[in-house]
Amino acid sequence: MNMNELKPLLQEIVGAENVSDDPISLVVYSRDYSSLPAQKANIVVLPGCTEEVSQIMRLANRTDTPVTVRGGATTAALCTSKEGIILDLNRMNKILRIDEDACLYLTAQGGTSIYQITKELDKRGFILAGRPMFGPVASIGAWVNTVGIGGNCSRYGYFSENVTGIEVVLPSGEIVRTGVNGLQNCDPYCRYTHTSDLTGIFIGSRGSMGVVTEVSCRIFPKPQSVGFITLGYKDDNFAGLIKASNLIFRHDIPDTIDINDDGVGKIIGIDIPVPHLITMTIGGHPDEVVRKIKVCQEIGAETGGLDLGPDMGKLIYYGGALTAYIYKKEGYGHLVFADSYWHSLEAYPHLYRTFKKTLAKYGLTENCIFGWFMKGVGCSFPIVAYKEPEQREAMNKAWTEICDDWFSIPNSAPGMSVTSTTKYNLDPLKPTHYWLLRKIKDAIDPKNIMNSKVIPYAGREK
Amino acid sequence: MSFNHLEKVKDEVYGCSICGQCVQGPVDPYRPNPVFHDYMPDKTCPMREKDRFLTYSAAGMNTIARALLEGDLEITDEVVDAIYECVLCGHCETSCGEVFHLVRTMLGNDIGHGVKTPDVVRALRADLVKAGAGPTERVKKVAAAIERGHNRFARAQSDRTAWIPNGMEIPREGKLLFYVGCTASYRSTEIARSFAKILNKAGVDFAVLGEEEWCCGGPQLLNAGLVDQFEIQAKHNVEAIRASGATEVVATCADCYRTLKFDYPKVVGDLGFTVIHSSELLARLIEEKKIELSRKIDETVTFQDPCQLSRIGKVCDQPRKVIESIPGIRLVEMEGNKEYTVCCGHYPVELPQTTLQSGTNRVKDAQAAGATTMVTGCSFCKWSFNHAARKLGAETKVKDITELVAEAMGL
Repeated sequence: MNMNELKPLLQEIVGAENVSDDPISLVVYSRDYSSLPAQKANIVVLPGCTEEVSQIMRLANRTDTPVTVRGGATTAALCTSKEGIILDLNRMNKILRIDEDACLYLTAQGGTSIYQITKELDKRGFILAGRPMFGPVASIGAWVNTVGIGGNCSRYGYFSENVTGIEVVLPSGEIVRTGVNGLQNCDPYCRYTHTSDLTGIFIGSRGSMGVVTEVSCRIFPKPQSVGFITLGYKDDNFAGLIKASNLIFRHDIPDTIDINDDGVGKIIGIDIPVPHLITMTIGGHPDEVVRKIKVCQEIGAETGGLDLGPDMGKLIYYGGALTAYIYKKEGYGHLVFADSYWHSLEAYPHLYRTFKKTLAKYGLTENCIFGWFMKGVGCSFPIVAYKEPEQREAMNKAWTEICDDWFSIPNSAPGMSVTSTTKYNLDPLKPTHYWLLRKIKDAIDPKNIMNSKVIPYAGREK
Repeated sequence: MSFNHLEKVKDEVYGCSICGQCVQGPVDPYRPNPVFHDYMPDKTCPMREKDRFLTYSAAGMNTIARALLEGDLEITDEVVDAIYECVLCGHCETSCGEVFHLVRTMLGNDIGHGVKTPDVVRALRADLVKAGAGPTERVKKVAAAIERGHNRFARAQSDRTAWIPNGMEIPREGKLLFYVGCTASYRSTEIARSFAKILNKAGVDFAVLGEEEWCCGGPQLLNAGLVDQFEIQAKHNVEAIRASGATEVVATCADCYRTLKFDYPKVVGDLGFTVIHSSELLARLIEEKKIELSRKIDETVTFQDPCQLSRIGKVCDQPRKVIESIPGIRLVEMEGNKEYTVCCGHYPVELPQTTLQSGTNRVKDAQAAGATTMVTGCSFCKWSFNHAARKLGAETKVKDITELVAEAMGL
């Protein structure tokens, strides 16, 4: 079916004012937070409720029309498409329930921004399990689709580990609820029941398995007070940094442990005497926070770390995704936020050195790396700001070289989007893993209409 | 088509990373915060509130500008309409610059600024006008009225002083000049009358330009890209003010204030006089004890910071000081205040739906804050909120700060 035939049918579902195929909107929706090349889809649709999403998906499935879901669009390359429908969930932005008296969970529509949710929780003395890596612009549905990494994960785990259930519209239009909410008589207060964990199929699926229209998740009491400390390490003391991180976790200290370099400091004008930092946020009773900061200072002294005080931690805590936003400074609007890279703590020195060396080779000096750690597992975010269009080619070359190196070493894995999905995301999978993933995708989305670039061959090639 | 104006702000266009902060909320929702004390609003962009497509946002405007510069989008009527949807309230720029604000306040380091999307939109509009593609029909009508009769309402200039209270003589020359503005001269005349009565009672000599006062041209001409027409207005007004012998000009309308104080010098250079807002003068007169606020007002009020006054003029404390000086009054704050104020919609004629939506949102914000009265310092805000409150059937009262003070003075 061509788009001229599809458009009136979509208008019938969501109302004419919520469908656009004008060149202006297609241009605007051709870009996202990344600086990746623009891709123009055919039509943009703004559904207002789950039922509308369901009808759209039935229509798309019937007509083999690709669908790309868009929330806050802070994840590179996942929110644009060169064909089909862009499904912008920003009208579905309501907090449906906050259960602060019994089960401590909330339910919000998929397009609700983390800012809205966090603000509402903050007023009531609660927090979410995490703080999004890109700042609170992200929508909760998209955050589930991209695992949910960010501040506080050292204490509460990744955000998705605290999801108690989702409502998802499958590519075929069926509306499915997961967790105990999959039962006739239960609200979404618990993720696990007597069947397999279906929620996990959609977490991290990057919009390839269904449209997440509702998310329910655990909420936590806001700490009484928050303290900050940063330990700094010289370039020849990675061993000390790794040992310190390990000891900090053994002492059950941080809410957030962020291993970053001095790039952020340089951008914001703080003179940092050493290149490698462990920046921590510590929440709890005021006395406990003071005690834990003292323990951190002792660990720093034992491992050759410098106590750099609270400023970096404060800035990162109160500044949200500080680094990303700061690159808005003059002439550096674009940044490569090539999303997360999962790696073991031991892999970090290698990743760091490749990152710095390669960027220096291409003259890309505005960069930094930071990552949130949960025990010995890191999820790092390399950030490079470069000038468009002058440095675009250099950036692309550098990025390919970095990815080639990073994914050739042990215990380093792509998080979300990389320069080549096939090369870095799919080729390295063990055959049985890929086989099972394909089976699930084929069962749920046999025509591969949803974010088809995520599992590009599913449904089309045996 | 050439984009001479847009080329000059190209860095801003490419500076937008399409992060969505301009419409989805600021960086930090957690409180307490060492810099930001109040929660930030999440309904911030008037055009986005009317139309949920990302097209109608600062990110959308910058992406459109980029596509035009790169030849990826052609100028059509729809493109022109989209570019004229922005009300230029500047919330996006403030929100975008929140991190810089944080760093500046916490560390004292000035490392950059938010993307100046209003400059991008103004530049785009100026290029569209040069190419004969802009402005929109509604804007053209208002601009034509200004060209014909020097005021936006197409009224006779001879009626400009019809608001002057009976028995009051106001000279055309003096050290302090009250620049009345089109809306207070013709439509919301209660603002002009209240202010004149206050000054009179305080014993402050002041003058008005009368027929020599032309529309300031800021919101209707400069913002619309009608740069040449704006320059005519600016030059005339500055010459007329200089001829009056004024050394200080006071405006009750935040838009007139902004235009005279910040935009005119770009056209004529040094003005030769200073420009202040009525709230600044009122605060000064209260401090000098020239105003006696004797009458108790038993109301819970909130102050709507006009965008141009708070974001551009950085005048936030004086209006609050004035309000808090009134006996019996309780001042409460709406979510989104001072530099982070949320726009009233600003263009009741040119963009009626957008203005109604924004006005409605803001009246609801005032209700949520517990206010029974909204006080402001801009004729556009008053216009928008009155209209929205009527449509909502709300009992919220809307007053200019001059009216409130006049009431407290028993005038």
